[in-house]
Amino acid sequence: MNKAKLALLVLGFCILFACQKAAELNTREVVLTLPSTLDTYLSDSLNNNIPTLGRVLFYDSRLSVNNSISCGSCHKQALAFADNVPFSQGFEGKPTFRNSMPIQNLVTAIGFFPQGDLVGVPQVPADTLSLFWDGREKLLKAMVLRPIANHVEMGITDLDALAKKLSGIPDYQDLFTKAYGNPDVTQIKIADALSQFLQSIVARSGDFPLTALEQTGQELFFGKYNCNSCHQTQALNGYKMGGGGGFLNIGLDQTYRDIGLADVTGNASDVGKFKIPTLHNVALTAPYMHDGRFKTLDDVLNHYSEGIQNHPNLDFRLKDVSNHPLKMNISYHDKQAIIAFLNTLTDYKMITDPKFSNPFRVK
Amino acid sequence: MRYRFILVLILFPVFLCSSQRLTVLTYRMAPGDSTKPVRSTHQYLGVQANQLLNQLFSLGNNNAVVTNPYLIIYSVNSARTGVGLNMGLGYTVHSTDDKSDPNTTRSTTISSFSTRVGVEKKSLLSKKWQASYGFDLLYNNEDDHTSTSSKFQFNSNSSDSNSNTSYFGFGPRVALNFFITEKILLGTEATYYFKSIKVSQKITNTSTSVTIDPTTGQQSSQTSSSTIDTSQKATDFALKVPVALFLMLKF
Repeated sequence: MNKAKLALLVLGFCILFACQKAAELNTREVVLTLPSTLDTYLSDSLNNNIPTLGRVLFYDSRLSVNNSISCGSCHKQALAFADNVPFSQGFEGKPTFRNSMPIQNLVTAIGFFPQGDLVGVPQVPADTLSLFWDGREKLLKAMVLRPIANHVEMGITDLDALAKKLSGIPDYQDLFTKAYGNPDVTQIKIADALSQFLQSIVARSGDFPLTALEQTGQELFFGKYNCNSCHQTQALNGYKMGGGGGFLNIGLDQTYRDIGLADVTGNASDVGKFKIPTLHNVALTAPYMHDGRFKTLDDVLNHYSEGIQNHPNLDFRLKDVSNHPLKMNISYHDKQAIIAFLNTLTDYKMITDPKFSNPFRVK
Repeated sequence: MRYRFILVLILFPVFLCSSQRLTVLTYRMAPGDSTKPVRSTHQYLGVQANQLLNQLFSLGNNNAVVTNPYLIIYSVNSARTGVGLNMGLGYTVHSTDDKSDPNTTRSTTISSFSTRVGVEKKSLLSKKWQASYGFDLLYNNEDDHTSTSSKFQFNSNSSDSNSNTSYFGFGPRVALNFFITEKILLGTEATYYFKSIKVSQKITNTSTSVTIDPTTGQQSSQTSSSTIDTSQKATDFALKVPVALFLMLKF
C-alpha cells in the first residue's frame, strides 16, 4: 500500500469520527388540543376525564427520561397500536428486546382492574391474565409503568421523579384536577389514567359481506387448516382459553435465544412459548412474532406450511400423527384466500378514531 | 484521546495485512528443492458473511441474531506447528434522525468498536476440515449519543444523553473451518468469554417553562437544568454458540 492510499485511509477514518452530528433544534411548537366535549371512552366509566388524561400521557414524550419518546412512538394508532419494525427504538435509539405488541382488547386479557392501587386480586382464571409476549405482567396498571421504567424503552428509573416532573407542567395540573379532583400527580394516578385509556381501545371485526375469496379463506381458516383452534377470531381476546393458557410454542426455532414464557415461570416446559396474539387488525401489525421475524402474512403462512421446527415443547396441534412437526403444505391459492380473510379483520374505525389519536398538534 | 487509541487499533491490522511483503510472510527454501518456496507461515483473513450468505442462499426462516461483533478476523500461524496469533476487529456506526413524532425530534449516533487478540493453534482434521482453538483477550467500546428537543406550548426541552458501555474480557475460543477451495474457507466459532462490563450514562435535560400571570397576563420564563449521571459495573460469563460465519482467504 503506498503512502497516498494510506493517507486517504487515515483521512477517511478521521472524517468518520469527526462526523458527530449536532442535534437539530426542534422549532415546531406543539399544542395540546382536546375536544371541548369529552369523548366517551368506556360505556361504564363515570369519569371520562381519566382516560382523556391517559390519552395525553400516552402521547407525551416527556414521559421518557430525555423527553424523546412516548408510548405512542412505538404503538402507532394507524398500525393497531403496534409498530412496523421488528424492534422499536428506545429513548437512546437502542432497539427494544421484543416486537411491539398491538394494543387492543386488553380488557379481555386482564379482566379486572383494581382501583386506587397496583395490587389486586384477579377475578378471572389465571391463564387468561397475561400481558406482554411472555406474560410477565398480570395487572394492566403495573404493565403501563413497565415501558416507562425500562432502561432501554423510556428510561425513567424513578417514577416519583416523573410524577414531580409532570406536576410542574401547567397542562397536567388542569388535567389531573379534572380527572382526580386535585392537581397532585402520583405514579398511581399516571398508571390508572393510562390503563383506563388502553382499556378503552377495542377492536371489532368488520361486518361487511365477504367476497368469494374471503369466504373461501374463512372456510379454510376454520376448517381445513383449523387455525381457529388457537386463534379464535370470534373472541375479543383472540385466542382459545385453556390448553396452553394463551401461550404456545409454534416451532419457530429448534433452539430459542429468547425463551419466552420460561423466562417468567422458570419451567423448561415453557421454553419457546409466547402469547398467542389476537388476529384483529393482523393485516396492520407486521412484522410478526415476538422478534418480528416474518415481514408479511405470506411469510407467516409459509412457516405453518413447511417451516415448523421440531422442539420438545412444540404444541400438539402442530404435530402430525408421527409426532413430527406438521407440514400444512398450504397451496398458493389457499394462502391468498386466508390472507384475504385475515384482511377482513381490520377495524378501520379503531385506527382512525380521533379519541385515540395524538392530541398534540403542531401549531 | 480515546478516538486516537481506537484509530491506532483499527489501523493496526491494515498495516499488518499490507506489510506482508516486508516481514510476516517469509519464505524459506525446502531442502533438495531449489525452485519451489515453502511457506513458514500461513495467513488467514476473514470477513463475517452471514448477511451475504443469507442473500445468496435461502437458509429458512431461522432468524438467529448474530451477536459476534468481529467483522474482520485475521490470523497468522506457523505452517509447521499451526500455532499463531489471531485477532478480530469490528466497527459499526448507526445513526438515525427521527422526526416522525410531532412532539419531538431525536438524533442518535451509536458507534461500537470491538477488538480481540489471542493465541491459537490450527490443525487439520481432514483434507477439507480444519479446527482451531485458542485463548483471547478482548475489548469493546460502545458510545451512544442522543440529542432531543421538543417544544410544547408552555414548556420546551432539550436533552443530551451520552451512554458508554465498555468491557474487557478473556476466554477460550474454538473454531471450525471448511476448505471450499485450497485458498477459500468458510468457518464458524464458539466462545466462552468472561467480560467485565462498565456502563455509564449521563443525561442532561434543560427545560424552559413559560408561566402567565393570570392578573396581568405577563409571560415569564424559567429555565432549569438537571443531570442524571449513573455508572454501573457488571460481569458476564457466556457461551456463544456458532452463529457467525466467516468467509476466509488463506494466503
